[in-house]
Amino acid sequence: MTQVDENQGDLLEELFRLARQGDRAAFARWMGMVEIPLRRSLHRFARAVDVEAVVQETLMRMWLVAGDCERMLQGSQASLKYAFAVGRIVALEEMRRYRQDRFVNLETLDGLPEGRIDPDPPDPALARKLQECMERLPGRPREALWARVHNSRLTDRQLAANLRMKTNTFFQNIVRARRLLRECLERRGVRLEGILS
Amino acid sequence: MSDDPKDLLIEQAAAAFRERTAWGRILPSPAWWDLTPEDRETAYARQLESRLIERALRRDGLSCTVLAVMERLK
Repeated sequence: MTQVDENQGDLLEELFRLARQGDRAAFARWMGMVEIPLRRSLHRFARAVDVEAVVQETLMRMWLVAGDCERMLQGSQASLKYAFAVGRIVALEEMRRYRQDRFVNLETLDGLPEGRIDPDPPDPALARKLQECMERLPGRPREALWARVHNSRLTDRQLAANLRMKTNTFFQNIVRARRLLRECLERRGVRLEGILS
Repeated sequence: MSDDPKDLLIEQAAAAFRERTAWGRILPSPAWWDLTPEDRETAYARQLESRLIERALRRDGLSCTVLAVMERLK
């Protein structure tokens, strides 16, 4: 583990310690560092569960864990490792609830690697390039994508209505915005596929 | 513009908003059910991409997933 990784790991556990005292802002920062590695660890379930729903449910349960003073998490990056374990349990519960286990071979599941277990904070360089590309998007695609990024409480149908778009047109604009963003980033030497893998 | 119904379904499943039951249990995106296993892999990648874009574009650096959970904690 590098010095940077060690510092990130220490920060992660400090944030979780503050969350245990009821600090919601610290828990939000903790989730920001954990979300992407947790999501990657669930990739192997992607054919059988809606990973977005599993991630949200896992983070909710981690808030309950944080509030349970009798539960002690010990060791390096203990909260992140515990979140991985909870995520796996939630994914298995969802698979069984909806009878989707035929899409994942449970016998081989345990042999698959979980992936990176390092905390993953936002990347300022990527953010700068994304903001430049966002500003260059044509009007309606930019409006649609901007609305989704900044209104997490509304459904897509509500967002479309606010923008006076049909829901289908809203999705078409998002798809177009995403394609143009990818092309713009590639011209700046960033390949999203590389970041996602 | 894309009119491919599959692409639009994947885009719907990429959003962070999720319905919940009256008991608070989170539900999969309705669009996700209509996807083939291969398209669900694509939806997974699109969700990951969306969350990376959101936290890069928002001043607070938080994705819509984190915001949705924070909303539930209130």
